Amino acid sequence: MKQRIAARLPLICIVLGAVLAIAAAGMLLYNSISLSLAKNDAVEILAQAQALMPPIENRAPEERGNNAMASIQIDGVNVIGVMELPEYGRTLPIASGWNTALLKSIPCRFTGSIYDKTLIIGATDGETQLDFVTKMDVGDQIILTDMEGGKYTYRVDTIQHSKHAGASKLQEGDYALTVFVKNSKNSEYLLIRCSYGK
Amino acid sequence: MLTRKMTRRIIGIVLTVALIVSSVALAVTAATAVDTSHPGSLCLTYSYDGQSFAGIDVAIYHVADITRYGAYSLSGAFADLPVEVNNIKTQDEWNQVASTLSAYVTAKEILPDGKSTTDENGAVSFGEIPLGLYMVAAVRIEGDTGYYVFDQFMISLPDLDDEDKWVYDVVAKPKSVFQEFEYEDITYHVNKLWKDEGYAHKRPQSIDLELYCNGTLTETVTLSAENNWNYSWTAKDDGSIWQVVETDVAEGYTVTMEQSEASFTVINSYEKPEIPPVTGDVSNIDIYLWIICAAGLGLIVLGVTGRRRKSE
Repeated sequence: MKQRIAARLPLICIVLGAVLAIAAAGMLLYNSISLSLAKNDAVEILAQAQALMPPIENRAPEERGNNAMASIQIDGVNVIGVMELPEYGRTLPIASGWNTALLKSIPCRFTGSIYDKTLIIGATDGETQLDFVTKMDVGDQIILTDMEGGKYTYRVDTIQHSKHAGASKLQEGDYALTVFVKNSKNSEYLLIRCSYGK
Repeated sequence: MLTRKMTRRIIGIVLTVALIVSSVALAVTAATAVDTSHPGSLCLTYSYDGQSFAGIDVAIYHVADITRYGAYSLSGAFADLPVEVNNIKTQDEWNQVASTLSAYVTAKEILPDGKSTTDENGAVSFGEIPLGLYMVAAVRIEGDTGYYVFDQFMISLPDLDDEDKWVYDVVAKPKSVFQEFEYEDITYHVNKLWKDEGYAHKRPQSIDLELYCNGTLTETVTLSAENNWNYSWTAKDDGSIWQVVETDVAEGYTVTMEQSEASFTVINSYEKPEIPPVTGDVSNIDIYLWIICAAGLGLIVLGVTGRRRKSE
């Protein structure tokens, strides 16, 4: 019996190796296609969100009785507004809730709200989102526009590095806006902490 | 043993402390308790840029009763409406409440609780009226080249002054804008927004909105995911007042209406709080897939090498 297995071991290795390689390659290809589709989705969602916004006006965060951010449903995705990074020429829609699958397409609100200055947004460093994140610096602007037409301008105060992005870590400090991104090269998280105002 | 002098001092201290405590208590009470038996009055002045408007009909609606502690409770024809009137902190939110209630007044043909006409100074008074939350209806006055618009607004009776004291005779001057006649076609939009993160499954499949022009129902439209919850229509910009009403608000939701120029936003809020996530950690499985792929290729190489040795 042992001799039979030993005799067939090379064939077993070839078959097993082929299955693993094909399966992994297939998943990599699927991910690549998904990313490409995600890029198209993000562009389409952004265009629709901007088209559906009421007239835009500059506003300051003001605590409300109900601080929840209103979302509009576009092609099945709930969108709370758009995020613009003017120094890098990038504008992205923001999904209303935290969803790691949706995160591949567009940045997602982790928790919080513009109005009570607790907003935390997660994004990726993919080419469709914040692929320039390692170049970001103190003083950069981030402009958020909500679906009620309010435009809020923030300034980057500090960029922190963290191994993890747990809720307690993300909510540290008294920052009006935090955008966090995982650096895919070293698996470290960059926490971009912002205050309201130009 | 206590001497008479010590006793007097102790009594003095106790009385002083009691006086201070009672003064504080009275001050707090004055700031929070409303005398609900006290009648109220409302005086409004309609003017724009020095020009007073005489002979204007002004209607007020008693939307909610007020408790001793300043909380509102929707009452009368407004009692069953899905509109939140407490915990309102900003003027924008109050404007939304006024827009929403004004639309319901139109849709449900609610009669005003008071109606009077402005005098030569543009002033109108409502005396000896019940306390509570009132909505003052919008007023539109046509001029030669355009029209003056005094939007609907909410007013509390009594109201708090700068020293946090209740004022039972409230005086207000409604804000106004002047809009020139355009007579061109204008496209109106209505969007549906949701404040129900974590409870999106509670949303209805569709909602119906009634569109009113100058108090007359013109159209009923259905919003759903199919039209991305939005609708547009075109009309002449002739100063007509358009209103949007959501007829049946889904259970568990309240509704507010926002209007900005030709854009209406209908916001449904779910009453339960959001459940926040625990972590923002994300995993990148691509690297593991590459490792598996490499391992698979390695096994193939191993197998091929083994077979060659065997054949040799």
